[in-house]
Amino acid sequence: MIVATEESENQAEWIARFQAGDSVVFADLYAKYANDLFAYFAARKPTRFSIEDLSQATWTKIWRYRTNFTYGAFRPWMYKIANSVLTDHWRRKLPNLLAENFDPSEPTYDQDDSRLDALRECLENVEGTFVEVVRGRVNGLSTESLCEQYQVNAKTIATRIHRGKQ
Amino acid sequence: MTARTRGAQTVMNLIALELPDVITDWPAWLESHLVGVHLRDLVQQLEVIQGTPYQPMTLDAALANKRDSVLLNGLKALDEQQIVALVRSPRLLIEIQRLIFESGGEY
Repeated sequence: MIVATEESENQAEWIARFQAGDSVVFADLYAKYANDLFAYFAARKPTRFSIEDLSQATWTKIWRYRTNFTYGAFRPWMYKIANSVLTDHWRRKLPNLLAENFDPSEPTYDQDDSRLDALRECLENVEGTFVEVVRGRVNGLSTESLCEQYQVNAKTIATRIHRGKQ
Repeated sequence: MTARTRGAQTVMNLIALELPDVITDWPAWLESHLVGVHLRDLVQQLEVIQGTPYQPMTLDAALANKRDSVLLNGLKALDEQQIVALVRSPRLLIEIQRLIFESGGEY
C-alpha cells in the first residue's frame, strides 16, 4: 500500500484523505507542525495571550475548514489560519485599537517589560568591561579582536564573560 | 543565567548571552531559536544588550540574493557578514521565521 503524504506524488490522494478527516493524516500533520506553530505564536503573542489557546484554536479551524484546502502546500495554508486566529484574539482583546491594515504576523513589542528593565539594570551595574565585551561579541567581533581592543588575553575575555553572566 | 528584578517577581533566562563564541556556530544556534518558544525573548535581549535604538533593516537587504537559498537550506546559506547583520537587527529573525513558515519550501 502506498501511503500518501503532503509532499508525495500522491498529493491528490493525501488531500482527499485530509478533507475526509482521516485521523492518521491529522496526527501526522500535528506531529510535524505543532511545535512550529507554537513557536510562531510565541514570537508574536502579547503576554496576556495563551499560546496553548491560540494553537488549539488554529487546529480546530484547520479541522473545520479542511475542505477549503484543495491544492498546494499545507504549511502556508496553516499559517494563514494561524494569522486569522491571532487577529480574532486581538479583536476580542482590543476591539477598538486594530488598524485597518493590521498584520497579525507582525509581533508587538511591550514597551513596559519589567524583565527587560531588569536586564538593562543588570547591564548598567555590572562592573568592568563585561558589557563592552558582550556587545562586541554580539556585533561579530572575534575573541582576537576583543583581546586586541582591550589589551587582554583570550582567557581574560572568557573569564569576564563568565563572571558577567553570573 | 537569569536577571531578577528587586522583589524577585520576574525571572528571565538570558538566552542572548548563550550566543556561541564562534560565528560559524551562530546559524545552527539561531535556527534552534527560530523553532523554539523563546525567540521573542532572544530578540528583545539582543536589542537591550546592544544598547542602541533599534535600527531597522529590511529583510531583503539582509538576505540580499540568498532568499531562495535560505528557504532551501536555512541560515547556513548566509555568509558571516549576513549572519552578524541578523543578530545586530534581531527583529529580522522573526521576519525570517515568518518567511520560512509561510513558504511552502523544503526547509
